[in-house]
Amino acid sequence: MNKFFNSIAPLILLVSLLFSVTSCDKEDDQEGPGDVEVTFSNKYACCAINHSDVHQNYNGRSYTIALSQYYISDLTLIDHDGAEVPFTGQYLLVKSGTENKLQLSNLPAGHYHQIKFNVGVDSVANHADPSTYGATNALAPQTPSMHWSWNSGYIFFRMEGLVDTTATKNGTLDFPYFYHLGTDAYLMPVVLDLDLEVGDSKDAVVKVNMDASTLLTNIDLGGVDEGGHSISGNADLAGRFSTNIKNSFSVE
Amino acid sequence: MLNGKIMFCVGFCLVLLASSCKPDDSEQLDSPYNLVLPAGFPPMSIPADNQLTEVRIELGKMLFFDKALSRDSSVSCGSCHLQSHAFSDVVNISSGIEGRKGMRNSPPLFNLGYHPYFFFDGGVPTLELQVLAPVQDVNEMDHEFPFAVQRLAQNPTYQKMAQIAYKRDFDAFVLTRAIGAFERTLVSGNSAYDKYNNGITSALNESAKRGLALFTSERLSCSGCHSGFNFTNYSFQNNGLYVQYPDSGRMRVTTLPEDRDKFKVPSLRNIALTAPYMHDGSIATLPDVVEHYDNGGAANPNKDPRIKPLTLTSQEKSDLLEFLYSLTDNDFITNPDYAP
Repeated sequence: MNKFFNSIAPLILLVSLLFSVTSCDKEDDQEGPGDVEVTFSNKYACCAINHSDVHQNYNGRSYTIALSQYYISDLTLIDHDGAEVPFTGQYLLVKSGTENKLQLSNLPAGHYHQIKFNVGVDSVANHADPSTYGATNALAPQTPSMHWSWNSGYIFFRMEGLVDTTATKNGTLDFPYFYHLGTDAYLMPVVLDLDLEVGDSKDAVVKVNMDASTLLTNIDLGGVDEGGHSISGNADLAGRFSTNIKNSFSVE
Repeated sequence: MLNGKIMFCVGFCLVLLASSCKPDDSEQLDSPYNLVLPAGFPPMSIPADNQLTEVRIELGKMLFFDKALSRDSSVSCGSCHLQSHAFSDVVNISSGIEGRKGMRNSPPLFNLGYHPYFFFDGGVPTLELQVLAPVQDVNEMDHEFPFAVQRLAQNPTYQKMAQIAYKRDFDAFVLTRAIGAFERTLVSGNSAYDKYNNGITSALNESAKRGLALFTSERLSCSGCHSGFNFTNYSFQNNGLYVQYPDSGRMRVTTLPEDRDKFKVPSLRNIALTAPYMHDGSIATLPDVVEHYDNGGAANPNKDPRIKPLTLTSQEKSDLLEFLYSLTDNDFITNPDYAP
């Protein structure tokens, strides 16, 4: 008996080892965490924003978009059970004509059905000192500036260009407009639906677009009190503009 | 013999230690700066990341007077903040680059480490953050901050001092901290009034003493806002300068209607040196300011109720002025430590 056992012992060991290897494989069907790349692109309707293009707003007034840039922060992915995976502490300054992306690492595998983020920065970051960040940090002093030096805080969304302010709307585009929106009250939460599978074997990419053609819905850049600068103090205008900003985002 | 060997080893080790401790030329040491405060002044709170040192202050002073901060290298901080005028300017609205004009009077700079916020509307909470504003303001230096930093970083002296003072390359942090450090050393508290307040009763003449009594009286209520050792409670007030203001003041920051046309109460120290007066420099002389308060100001809905006709006699006006003149600190405006 002993002799028999001794002879088959290596075999038992081998079988056990094989079993354990297969059982490991079986457990690995449960995928490990994955990485997700979230990109942000500024568009005007279908296409990239061309700074010299002349657009028409809802009531036929002509304008250009020379600049449209903003902060994205507190990005969170929400899985099918409603569990949130937040990526706090990551701030992205989205500009037109450049690649804007956040790299999210070690996201638990599974299906994610929503993405949410804030346009702007949280109140703690908003009241911090930009000069304490390294020059490559999105929150460091920028050119053009994304920080109000006279009312310390970040410009959450900065849009500028030229507008034809004539009553007949057939003049020249020679009036510069500056829509700068910020202050804690105007942190703009955005929630978008998503259909995203995450796992270690997948290349997960979320493409978020901001459509600038919707930013001036119900705003007449040539109207009284609507051609303003740093508009947070104009509650009516700032309210409409922030609603338009929130509605301008979609997932491709 | 053994003792001799031990002594040799100890000696050799000491020589090694001594040579390793000796700083080379690139590792010059900075030393803490002892900020001497006038008698009766409370301790000044200094940020942990910007404790005062000799080199930080020296670097800050050089930057304060460096026109390279402005886009076209035409103006420095010192262009609109003149030591002879307690670091204020002599015009109602100072000129920035290309002669551009903003909308407010250049404030004097002293005892800044005690201010809870900066600018007439209080929109900036720290001295370091304050540095960002004049550099970028289109009517002042009109310079993108990163570009200003890049330009100044080309200066090898600044680079060397940044390493000694802050142990890092010259950057936005160094620029804002160094200027903040220099500005904290601008302390003024050696006027005739201070000497009187510290027991030298002869430091004020009889007229100034009567003026002081008027100043602190309930009837005039000056010291209701211009209170404490720095002659301000830093509150935001409307003193009836206009019925309608072109500049909404504090409301610009808070957006609250109750803050419309209100401005930060300024210190009255060195007030005889800082003409013209008010947030927009619209009152030319100190006697005119006294007249303004005596008249009770314009009917603005947010005017402080204490601003009302005072019916001052000419003697009272002159006593009040005599007291205000006693707030001048001549040592402050001649201190060579503050000069370029």
